[in-house]
Amino acid sequence: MMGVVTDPWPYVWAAYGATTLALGAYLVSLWVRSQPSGGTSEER
Amino acid sequence: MKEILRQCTLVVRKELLHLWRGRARLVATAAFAFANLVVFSFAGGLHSEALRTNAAGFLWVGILLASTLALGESFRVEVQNNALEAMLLLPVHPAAIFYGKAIGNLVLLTLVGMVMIPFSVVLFDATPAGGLGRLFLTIPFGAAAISAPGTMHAALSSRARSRDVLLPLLLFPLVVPGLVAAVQATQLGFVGDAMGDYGDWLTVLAGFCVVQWGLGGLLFSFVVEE
Amino acid sequence: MTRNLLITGALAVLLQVGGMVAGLTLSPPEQHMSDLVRIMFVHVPVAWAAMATFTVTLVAAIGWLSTRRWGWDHLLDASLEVGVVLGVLLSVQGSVWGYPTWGTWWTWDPRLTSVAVMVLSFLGILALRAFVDDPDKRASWSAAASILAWGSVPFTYFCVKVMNSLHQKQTPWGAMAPEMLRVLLLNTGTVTILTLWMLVARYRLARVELQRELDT
Repeated sequence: MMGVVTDPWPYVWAAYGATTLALGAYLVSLWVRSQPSGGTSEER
Repeated sequence: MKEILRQCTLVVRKELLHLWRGRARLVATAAFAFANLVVFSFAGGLHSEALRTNAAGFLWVGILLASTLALGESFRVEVQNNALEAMLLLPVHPAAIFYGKAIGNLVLLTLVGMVMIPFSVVLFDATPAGGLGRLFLTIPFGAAAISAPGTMHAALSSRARSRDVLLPLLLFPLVVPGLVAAVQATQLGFVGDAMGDYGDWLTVLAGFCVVQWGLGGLLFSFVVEE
Repeated sequence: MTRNLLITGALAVLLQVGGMVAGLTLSPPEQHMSDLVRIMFVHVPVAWAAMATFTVTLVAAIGWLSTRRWGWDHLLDASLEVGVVLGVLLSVQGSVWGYPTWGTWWTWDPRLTSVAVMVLSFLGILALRAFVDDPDKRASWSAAASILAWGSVPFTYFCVKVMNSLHQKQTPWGAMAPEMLRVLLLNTGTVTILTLWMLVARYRLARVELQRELDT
């Protein structure tokens, strides 16, 4: 099953890192957008 | 039902008349599709072998790109003159409008596609080993796979902001299966159908068309209602 | 964001972190795939969550078109966006898994392609929503477009399947070592909770945004 790599850990870290980054970034964006100003500059 | 069919025939007649009067649009679309093929033949490099292997793909991507022009244009006129609202007020059933316009676009794309076949044979040096019949027969099916979802999304995007960006963005992912099947079937026309797979791909393509044409007719009223 | 939402969100994140730590440490390496199997603990749950979210989109679209209740539109909005985020993440994870196991970053596999097509379709529909100002039209149009996109999924799957297939067969639950199964189930739970939370938070945001739009 192991194809071309000998050390799997970089790939494991990449996958877990991507997961953390993607979900984390989305959670932050949700938080920012639900602030009263809506995260946009069109505050009145 | 009968009434919808009658209205649909009328819309088709209007579309075909419009197509004939605006022959320039037809010619421009075909010219754009041709330009695409020429660009592909350069982008493929000077390796004639690669061009020949991908001839079917190039042909269909060329048609797909050209279709966005034709589809966008077909609704621009309606929106500009508020013709869509007028038709709905008459009242013409939304499904009749959808099928009428989709058939109009189908005819246009089929014509463009059929004209492109000899060009791609020459440009890509792809002798149709599987027979010209397979090539020409695939065109209306592939055109139908583009025209139904295309009509739907042209109706949407023509009334949104930045419609020219929106139409391909909505349409391209949607027609992926239709494109795959059309390319496979066309490829068999170019390289020969040793395994007898042509009928299967055409069936898949027809199935995709049935679903998209069916859903389009059902959903169009939600898209045009005020 | 309300206090309750913040607290539940923090809990969901903590759970997710716990699940990932368990995936990195608790499970033993698998005999054929060695430590690469750990990617599965985040990949499979995200796949499930993405599919479930895509399905929510379809339900919400049908719900809006048949009832015209704004809740369905909020849900449609939420699930479109969460679905795109999960789908993109899923494809990245798949790539990272695909290279060391199949020797390629991307392959035209039915499941990969279906997810990619779905994500692209939803991205287009999100763009459509951004470019339509009338809330009523925006809701109906994006609902119609979502149903249309769903109509194309089975064909994408089938077409690409016929062309070629490399993707691993799903491992039957019984065949998996119990330590691994436990970690996988744990992560499936945490990802599901986090996804639900994101949907709820995004739903509320959609409601607030619509209110703000109607006020101005």
